[in-house]
Amino acid sequence: MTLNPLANPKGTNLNCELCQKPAFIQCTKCRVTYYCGVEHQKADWVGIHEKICQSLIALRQGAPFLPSQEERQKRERHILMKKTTMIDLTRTTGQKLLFEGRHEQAVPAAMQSLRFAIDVHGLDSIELVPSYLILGEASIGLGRLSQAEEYLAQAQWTVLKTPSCSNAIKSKLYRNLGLLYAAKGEYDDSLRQLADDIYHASENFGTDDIRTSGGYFHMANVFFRQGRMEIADSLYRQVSNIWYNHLQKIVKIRTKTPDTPQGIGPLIIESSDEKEDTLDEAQEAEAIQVLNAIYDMQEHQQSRQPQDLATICHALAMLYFILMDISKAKEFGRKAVVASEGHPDDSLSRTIVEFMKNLESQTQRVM
Amino acid sequence: MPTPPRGPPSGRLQPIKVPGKAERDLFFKQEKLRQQQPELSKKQTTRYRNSYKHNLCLDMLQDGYHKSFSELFALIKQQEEERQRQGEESLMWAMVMLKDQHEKLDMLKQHLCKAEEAERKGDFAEVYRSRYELARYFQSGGDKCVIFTGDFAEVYRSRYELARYFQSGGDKWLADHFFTTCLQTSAQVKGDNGKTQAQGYLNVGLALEEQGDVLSAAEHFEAYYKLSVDHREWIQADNLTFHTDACINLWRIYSSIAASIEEEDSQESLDYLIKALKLATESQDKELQGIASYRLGHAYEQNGDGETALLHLNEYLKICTAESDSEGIGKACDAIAKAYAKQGKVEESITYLKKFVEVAEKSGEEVALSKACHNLGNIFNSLGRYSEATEYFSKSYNLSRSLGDKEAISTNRVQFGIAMAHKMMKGLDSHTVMGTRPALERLIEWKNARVDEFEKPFPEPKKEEPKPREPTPPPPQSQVTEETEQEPQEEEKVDDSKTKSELTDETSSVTETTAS
Repeated sequence: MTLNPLANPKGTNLNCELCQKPAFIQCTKCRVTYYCGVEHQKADWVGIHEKICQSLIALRQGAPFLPSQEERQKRERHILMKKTTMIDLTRTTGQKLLFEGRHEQAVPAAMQSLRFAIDVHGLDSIELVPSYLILGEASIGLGRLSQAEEYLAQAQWTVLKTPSCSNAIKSKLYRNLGLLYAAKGEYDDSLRQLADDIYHASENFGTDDIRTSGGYFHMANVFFRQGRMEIADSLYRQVSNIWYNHLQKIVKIRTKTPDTPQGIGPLIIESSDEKEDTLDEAQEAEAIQVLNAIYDMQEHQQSRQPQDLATICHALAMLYFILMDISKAKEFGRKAVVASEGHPDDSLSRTIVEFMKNLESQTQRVM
Repeated sequence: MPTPPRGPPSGRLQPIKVPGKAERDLFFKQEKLRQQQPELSKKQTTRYRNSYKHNLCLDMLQDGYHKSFSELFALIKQQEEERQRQGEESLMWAMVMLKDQHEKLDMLKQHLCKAEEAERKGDFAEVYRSRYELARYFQSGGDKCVIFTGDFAEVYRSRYELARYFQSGGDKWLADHFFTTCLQTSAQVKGDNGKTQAQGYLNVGLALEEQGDVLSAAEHFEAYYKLSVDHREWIQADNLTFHTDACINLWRIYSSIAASIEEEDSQESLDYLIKALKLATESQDKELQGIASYRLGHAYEQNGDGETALLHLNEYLKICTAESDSEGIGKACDAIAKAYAKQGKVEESITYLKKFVEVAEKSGEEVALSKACHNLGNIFNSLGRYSEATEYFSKSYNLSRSLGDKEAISTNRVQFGIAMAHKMMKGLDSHTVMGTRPALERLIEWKNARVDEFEKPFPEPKKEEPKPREPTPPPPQSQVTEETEQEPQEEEKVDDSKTKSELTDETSSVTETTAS
């Protein structure tokens, strides 16, 4: 639906959702979003708008006439809650797009989340930092380094001014800074930042958590590019071990044969209601990216250790199993079996074989 | 910034004070100084901003030593968790945490990084060495802890000293940790047939022993022994073969296990003692062998197996004689004599005791001599050979007087008195029985003066009297009995452990006769 800026009512400026220039078209679904052209509309649609189109209506419509103070407050609270959920939604989407490597598409989502965050928390709140970080990362991915630096500097300043800032946010910030320096080719600075990332992540989650492993992975990449293969190998091994253990834990819970119910009543339901450790969307994307990258690397290396390959294959198989991609899981499982053959470490090959058996039975059950 | 006026406005407002020349000069000077300082890089500013531990971790990670980082991090966390778990009252709050001890952190970093470097190259011997050094460092570093805590309040200090007394070294857990990791890495060291591993087992065993976990310690020592038994050529720093060292350690641990479970399970305790003896024999260290035999003999005796006990005690005696260890000989003779006495073979017992006295006299060991005399006196006393008993008791009494051992003095004094009384009893009895006038006169005279010589064998019987000693019986006969009865019994309790049980019978008989 086309618009003419000159035809707008006096005092209202309709701006493009992405570039803030005068808008010429309007989204026909929600009628509250405007764009400068078809290009930006498309970009926004794939990036984030598809998911939030309908929710935006309620947020952007003018306030209806509410006669009582009480009702007005209620509506305000309601909107605030909605905005907060929108922040989460847009952020997770942006993060996921980043891990899938679609940086261009991540930008609208990040912008949207930043906007909501400013709305809710104000301009210099620590809550804005994650959005800045996504923007920064997207910019790095797009090669716009100066822009990325701007975003990250903004984020860093906010973090510095907030001493009570959580370690998780700090770790993310330093990771992005590390990536920025790596992209610029300043490897030493990059390592320093990544080290900071690992330190803060460890403070928060422990040294062997999947959320810490990201820092190790990027560090390994930097060492790899520096040509210090020994260290890079050791770090890659660490990353794959962390993922391996985590995935194995999840698989174990999933494939555990449910206890035969004894007795009756609500007791059984309670006991079976176990807290399941799962991956969220962004983590799934990260796992796929990281593990595949390590797998490619190790497959092409001449002096690889068979045990490493087996571990990574097994981890990938488990990952695909969790994502319910059975055929891929089988493929990697077979590779893992081949890689672990002829290796003295029996326990590893045994777990792989066991996993394959589980896989078979699971497939049959599905069919 | 102008301060708000205090009182009511005073008509005219003062002009704002313009900074004078001196102030401006100072400002420029500071500015100039500031410009002379080098610009700080981002790295330097973060270094200033972060904690020491933070910077250390960053350095490690930046150089790619991520395993060292994990380990150090885990250690620090472990200590913190331990502290949390022990609650707020715990003494751990008074201790300086590992993360604030920069020297130690540096040490850890240096060696852990070295170890990781070596590990990457696959040089596990080097890994082991680094870890071992760390463990040694923390083992010996116990005192440093005290210095660091020196600035704590005095109250805490004394409590801390107490805690240290009980915990024996603040860094023990670190030392233990590294000894354990040493053992783990040593399993991967190939090419020396497990020599490093043996060392690892030894260290962990020692650490466990210090913690008081003797059974696990014994397990580690056994592993150490197994590794070393086939390699007699391995030699430690002080010219001791590994094998011998293993034997000695195992011997010690077995002995202590045996001692600890002696109360509950004497059979098991015996088993351990037998094992200890076997190892002592294997170590070819005569002294250890002797002690092991002695302990075993002692245990057998406690269990009532006198024959076997004598066998082992004689073995000990033989070893001691061969080594000319007079103290040992004395101990052996004493134990053998006791064993014989228990079996009722008094003559043998006397022989060994006399030997004991002889040896003790020769070596000039007064304590042992006094003890030996005392025992001999006891036996003679019970046999009714009072003159010999008195002789030995007086010897023992004099000896203990010269030694100034109060408890021994009083014990011996009483025993001496009892023996004397026994000796005199016969004459007194006969006089009483005789009932003739001179005899009665003697009795009365003795009662009055007590200074009379004993002229018992004379046709005109006279009384002898006790030496000027403490429990002088006062004139009325009934009181005499009371006093003599009370005092010896009290003393008896004290020296009951040392002397024979026959004594009690003896004393009661004394009092009975005196009463009659």
